[in-house]
Amino acid sequence: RCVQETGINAEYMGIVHQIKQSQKVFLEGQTMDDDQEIKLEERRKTVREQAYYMKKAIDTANLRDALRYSTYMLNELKAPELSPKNYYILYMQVFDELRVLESAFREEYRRGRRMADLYESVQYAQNIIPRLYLLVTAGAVYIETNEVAAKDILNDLLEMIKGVQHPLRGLFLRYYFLKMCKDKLPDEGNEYEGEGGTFKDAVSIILGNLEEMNKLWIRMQGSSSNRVKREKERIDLKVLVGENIVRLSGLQGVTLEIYTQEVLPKLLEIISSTKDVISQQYLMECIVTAFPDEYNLKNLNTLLERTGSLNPNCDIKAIYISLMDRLADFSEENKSEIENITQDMDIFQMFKTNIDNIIEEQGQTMELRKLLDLQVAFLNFTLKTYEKRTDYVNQILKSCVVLCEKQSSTSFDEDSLKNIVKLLTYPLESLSITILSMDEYPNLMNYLPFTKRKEVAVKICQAVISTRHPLNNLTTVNQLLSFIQPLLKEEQSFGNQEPYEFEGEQQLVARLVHLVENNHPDKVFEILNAFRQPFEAADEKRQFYTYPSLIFAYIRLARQLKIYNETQGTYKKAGNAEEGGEENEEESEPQETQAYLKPELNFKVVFEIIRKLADSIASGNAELGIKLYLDILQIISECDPQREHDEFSYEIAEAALTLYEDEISDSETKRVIILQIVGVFQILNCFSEENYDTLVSNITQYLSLIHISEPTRQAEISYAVFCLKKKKRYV
Amino acid sequence: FFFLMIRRPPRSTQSRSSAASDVYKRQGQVSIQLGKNKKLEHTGIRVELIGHIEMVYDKAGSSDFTSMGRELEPTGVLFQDKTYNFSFPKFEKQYESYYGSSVKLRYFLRVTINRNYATKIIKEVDFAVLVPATEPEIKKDIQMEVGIEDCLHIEFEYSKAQYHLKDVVIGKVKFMLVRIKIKYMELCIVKQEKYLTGQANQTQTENETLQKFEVMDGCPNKGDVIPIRLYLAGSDLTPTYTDVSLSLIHISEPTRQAEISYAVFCLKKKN
Repeated sequence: RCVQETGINAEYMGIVHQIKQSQKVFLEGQTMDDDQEIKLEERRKTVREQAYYMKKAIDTANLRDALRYSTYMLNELKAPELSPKNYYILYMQVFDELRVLESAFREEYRRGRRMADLYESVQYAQNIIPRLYLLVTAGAVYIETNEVAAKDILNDLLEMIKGVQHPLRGLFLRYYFLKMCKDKLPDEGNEYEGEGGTFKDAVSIILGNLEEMNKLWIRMQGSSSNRVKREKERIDLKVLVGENIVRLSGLQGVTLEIYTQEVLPKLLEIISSTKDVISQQYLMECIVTAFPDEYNLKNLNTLLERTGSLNPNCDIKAIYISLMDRLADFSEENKSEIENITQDMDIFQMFKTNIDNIIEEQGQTMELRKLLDLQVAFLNFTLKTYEKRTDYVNQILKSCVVLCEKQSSTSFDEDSLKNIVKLLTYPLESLSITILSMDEYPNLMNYLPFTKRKEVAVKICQAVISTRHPLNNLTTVNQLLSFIQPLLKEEQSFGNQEPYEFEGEQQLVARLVHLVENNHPDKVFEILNAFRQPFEAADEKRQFYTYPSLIFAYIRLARQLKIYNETQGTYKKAGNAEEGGEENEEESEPQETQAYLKPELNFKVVFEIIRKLADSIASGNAELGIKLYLDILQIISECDPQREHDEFSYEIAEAALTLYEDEISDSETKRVIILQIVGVFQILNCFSEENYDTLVSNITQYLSLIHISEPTRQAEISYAVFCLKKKKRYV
Repeated sequence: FFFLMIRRPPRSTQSRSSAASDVYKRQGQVSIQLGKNKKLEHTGIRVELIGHIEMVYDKAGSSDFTSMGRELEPTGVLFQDKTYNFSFPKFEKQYESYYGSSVKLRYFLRVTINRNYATKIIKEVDFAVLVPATEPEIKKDIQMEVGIEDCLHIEFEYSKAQYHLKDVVIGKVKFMLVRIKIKYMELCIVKQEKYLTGQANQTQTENETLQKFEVMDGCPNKGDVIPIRLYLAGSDLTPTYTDVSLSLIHISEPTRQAEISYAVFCLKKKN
């Protein structure tokens, strides 16, 4: 209707037509489903009825009739019209009813009937489906009696059930067989071992069953008609086939050695005996999930190679990803074991070689997103297994870069980009700032659009901040700054952003500045300058957040400088031996001068820098500007008892007061600020007497201009005046 | 109104000569009971042991192949119930009794009371003759390869050529070529009657399926081997059948029946 109203072109009409078609199919499906429902109910009713008579016969110990009614009941499992899903429902019902018969058999045995006779008489049934279900049931009870070797009966059953070659019925019969002999398989340490066989017999029986079930399962695919429907039906039934592998993994006797030498090769043989995609895919996945991770780790090379050589239509990477995720979890939980294993086997290389092969072979056809899925899983695994190996991570990133290079720009869909973000952010958790040493990192980042790069930049900041990693090396910091470019500089095409988001980002950047530290003031200065550059180049919005942080960092530097100067003596001597951090390798200066500061670094320089920064802030935000000026005055006062920078200080104070007079209009704010000013002035020592006098009289004037009704407030003002005068006296 | 009864003695009194020869002594009693009438005039009372082949659809072709007679009473009058003993000491069992659908081979005792002015009174009582066979010396298995050109080739084998009634038919069927859609495969026990028609001196064959036993459900692939295990004790077979064959029938879609193979062997009661 919508389409008709807007009258859009033929393309949309095509979509409407498609919708109508699928509705039709849906309705058709509905009637077919209804038909199935009716048939299923009919059969279920018959099963109920016959089971009822069967139970009555059992109650009167009439075995002959019990078998007769059970045969009628089991005939319903012929059901040629039922879909697999409905057949399963019927099967479950029959399965439950057969349990009663099973106990009846046991009871018969206890009453003295020979199991061999029972085993024979159930084979008189003329139709094959009832006959074999009864045979399996009788066989299970026969095994329990321990009169005959378990393996003999099991092998006989395995042989006889070959009679059902119909895919659906055969699968369910064999599934029944599996279920019934679940705890009757000879295994290490159980009652059937020895005379009854060994676990090797159990292995060969299950493998035999698996092979046949696989054939039946593939046979279900049939001709090319209804391909999609058949595939779906097959997938519905995959659990039946997988049960064999589950059973195998449950055998005690299947140790690592047995698995490696006998079980796994045979399983791989079965898998590669056909080209069927669904079968190969699922069975491989079963192997990965059913057996202990340790077993699969030890056989990793084989697994990877064979997976890589499956039918190319298989979702090979899904298997790899499943495997890597499991191994990643295994690594996380078994740290010591994984260490031992990695010493013996170069797991990383194994994975890498095989993954690279896959990418090479399938890179043309597979979407970028999927290839990157694979790399993400690989990265996750590597991070968990090889915790400190940044070189491995770098290698993976390099593969990704190579991958991306080959792609056209249209391949980079949303999911691919998300994957790249994952690739860049996963390592941050465990490796934090060491990612800066990975040269491929920025290369990969380049493939991201601005917003995503910003996302990564945020994560990087968060990682660095959360580990409180000291930023003490210029090279590292420069690299970091280049990584977080998107946060520092606005990009033209970028649209509006939520204010709180922006604030959050900038605060992160600001916090980074606080991590700057180094024993040597020179270094700190260098690093802070490195931060200052992009900050200065950025816009006011950003400076609002970044400058204050930088200012305080410089203030701290000034303090450090002061202490340094005072203790210069000790530094001279210990200079060559003690110098902070790993940045020494990159130092170009000769060793001797390190004990001395560079001539550029002195208080004046620092103060001027701070002053300029504060000026910028002040022009936009008077209140903040005043506060910053006050802070500057305090640090000057701290560092400069000789009042060398007296004039400089005076300028700053003047600027602050000018701001107060001109820019602050609100009287309440004025009151608060002037009191702050007074408070600071109490401790300032940086002015000459003359200058101090001038300033104080100005302040006093401002104080007098404040008229407040409230007595307490008024008292504060008066007290302030008093303090100023008092200070003046002591200057 | 006459009640004629032929009684055979209980088994223990049946004498047997050596197992090598099939010569038996057949003996019994004939008792005639007069009903309301107090007398019976006759021109002779006879008892005969007859072996007779009867063609069900061709009465003219029926014939006796053996006949032995004893006179019980010459012409006379019976005034009371009388019982006669009879004995046919040298009765050779040539054939086994057989009651088929088109042919019957019967042994019976016939008592005839001949009369002048009335129809003769005849009473026949069948008895069964079994000729136990010795166990066949050669235990051969059967192997055959059969098929339909370009559609289906199978190779089947049975472990024995001859089975006794409590035996198990064990074998397997291997599918060499499968190009048709088979729905199922069953084993049929077929009784085959072969007889010569008197007129044209031809052998006629008639088949009757006694039992069907499903051995495979669904369609196999090339190379699949299907096991066969059929317990004869589960089927109602009697040893009077001398010629029974087992045939393998494949039913393929759409419900076309193809009888593929034909294996002939005998069923006998075990000694």
